[in-house]
Amino acid sequence: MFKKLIKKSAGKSPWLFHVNAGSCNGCDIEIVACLTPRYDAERFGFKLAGTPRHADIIVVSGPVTSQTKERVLRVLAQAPEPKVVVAVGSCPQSCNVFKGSYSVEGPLKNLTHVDVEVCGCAPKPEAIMAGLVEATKILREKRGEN
Amino acid sequence: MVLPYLEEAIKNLFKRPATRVSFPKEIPPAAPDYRGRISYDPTLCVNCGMCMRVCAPAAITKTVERNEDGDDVITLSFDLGSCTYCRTCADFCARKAIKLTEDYVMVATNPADLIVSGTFVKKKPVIPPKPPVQPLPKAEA
Amino acid sequence: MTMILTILFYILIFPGLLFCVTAGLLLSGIDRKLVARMQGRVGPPVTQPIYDFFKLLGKETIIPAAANKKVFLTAPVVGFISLVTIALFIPIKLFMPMSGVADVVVILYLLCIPSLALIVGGAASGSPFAGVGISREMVAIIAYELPLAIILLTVGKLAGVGGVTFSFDEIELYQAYFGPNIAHWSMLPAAVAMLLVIPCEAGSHPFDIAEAETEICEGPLCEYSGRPLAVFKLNAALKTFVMPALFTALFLGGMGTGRLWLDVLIFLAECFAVMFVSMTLPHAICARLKVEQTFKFYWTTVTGLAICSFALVWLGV
Repeated sequence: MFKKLIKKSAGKSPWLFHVNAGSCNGCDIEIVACLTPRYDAERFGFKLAGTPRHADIIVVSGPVTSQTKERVLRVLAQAPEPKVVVAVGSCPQSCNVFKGSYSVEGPLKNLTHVDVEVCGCAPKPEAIMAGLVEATKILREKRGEN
Repeated sequence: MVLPYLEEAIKNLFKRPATRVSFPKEIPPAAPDYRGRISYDPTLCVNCGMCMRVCAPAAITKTVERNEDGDDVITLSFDLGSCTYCRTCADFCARKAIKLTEDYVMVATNPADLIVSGTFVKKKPVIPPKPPVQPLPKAEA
Repeated sequence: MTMILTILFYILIFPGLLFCVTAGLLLSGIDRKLVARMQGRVGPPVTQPIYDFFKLLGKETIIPAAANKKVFLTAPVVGFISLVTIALFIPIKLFMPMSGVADVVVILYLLCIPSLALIVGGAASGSPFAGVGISREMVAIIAYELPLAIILLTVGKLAGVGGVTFSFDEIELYQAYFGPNIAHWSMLPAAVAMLLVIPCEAGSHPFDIAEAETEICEGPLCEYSGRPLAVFKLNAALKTFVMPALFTALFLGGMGTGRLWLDVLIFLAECFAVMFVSMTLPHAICARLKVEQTFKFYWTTVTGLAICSFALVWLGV
């Protein structure tokens, strides 16, 4: 009875959880800047959740280092379906300048399926919001399939 | 219990918000000289390879094929997912074939969208035939 | 037969399930929008909590291996049922359909149950973050129950001529004859104390030391996802309606107009005004207090105000 309303709400209230997989914090600062009054991501319903169990969109920044690989996998396993993974910055896509280092495991697509990639080093908050809006569209499609 | 900024909070209720509301309809322009998406002009390139040599994350790759005329078909690919946007390649390019534009929204769901590439043909150099060897003039005794 | 249908109407439609859920979700949405505007942002649409609730209904429910399954799933439902029950008994300006059944003391102990449901739910999830969260929630409950009991005693003493009364009938009739309770200047400290108790009970900044805190991974709600989480968030939204409604019934009652729909609108407007002053304003400008600071604040300042008012009323001033 409420299926249409549930499908519509899936795209209107996405909750984010941010994982720092060894990043330099440049992309982290830009992600948090999206929630300030100037760029205001909350008008689309975005909210930072405190635990991955509450999240719909997992935002990953940083090349996946050996120390964080297991933790990133654990966070991804704890998020309930349907979920979307967004890679912010060029580090999760190809490890940028850290390619081949002794402590870097590799790009995020070796670990899991990545839905949206936002390029930049670091990407501007408008670009991150464009990527997140794209992610909510994918979330609605995933919700519609189930 | 301190109540900071009380007047400012009440005044904000009656003012316009500080958000740039134009975002979903139009993208605001970046600051001048912003280092954004790479644009590569293959007609100016001469295949010197300096950009590949100075790129820190090794984001530039080149493939060379020889076609039936004996010319080289050279393709350079710039991987936007590896790039640091430092503009060293554009600084070192002798022919100014690489430029970093002000387009900063690079969002892709398909990783193939993130490669900027260009192809050009470098013709085989035409070497003129060697002139016949002139005998040295005999030395006067 | 018609009596059973009437009672079912009261329980399910008005002032029961449908009315208080809609009012709670809308008031909580208005609160979020006003907080955003005060901070200079645009803010989410007013119907955002409705979207949140339906989105959570559609997510997968994951039960951790270390959790006690039955308690984990029934704790939020118990809290929800007790909140709807409280909303049944709060009078809307001389419209009191069920007041013969319950009085103020029943409301006092029914108000403990949603917080206890949060504690039990957190304890059942088996996570150390939840353990820290439930100990903070216990501190919060101990902190605000004392001033709340003294305030209810004060209102009861004022409204009962010659004794202490706990029945809503008599409190509303007293206010219908003598004007709203807040107009008596001996009740002003109690009104201020109640305005300070409301954000701690409803879990809003700067006193939300237990729930929804990103310092300890959301405290007791840490392992919840999907439908149980949807019911917990609905409980939080219902509390933003029930607490201001209690304040309005105790302090701002009165004769009202003769028509029911006009009374309901005025009641909702007063709830909104109370919510604005006690929950929205501090939320927009204050940071969160520490656990020790909250406890000390409630047991010294707020209890002092309540005792001051109680003494003034007892002396007959």
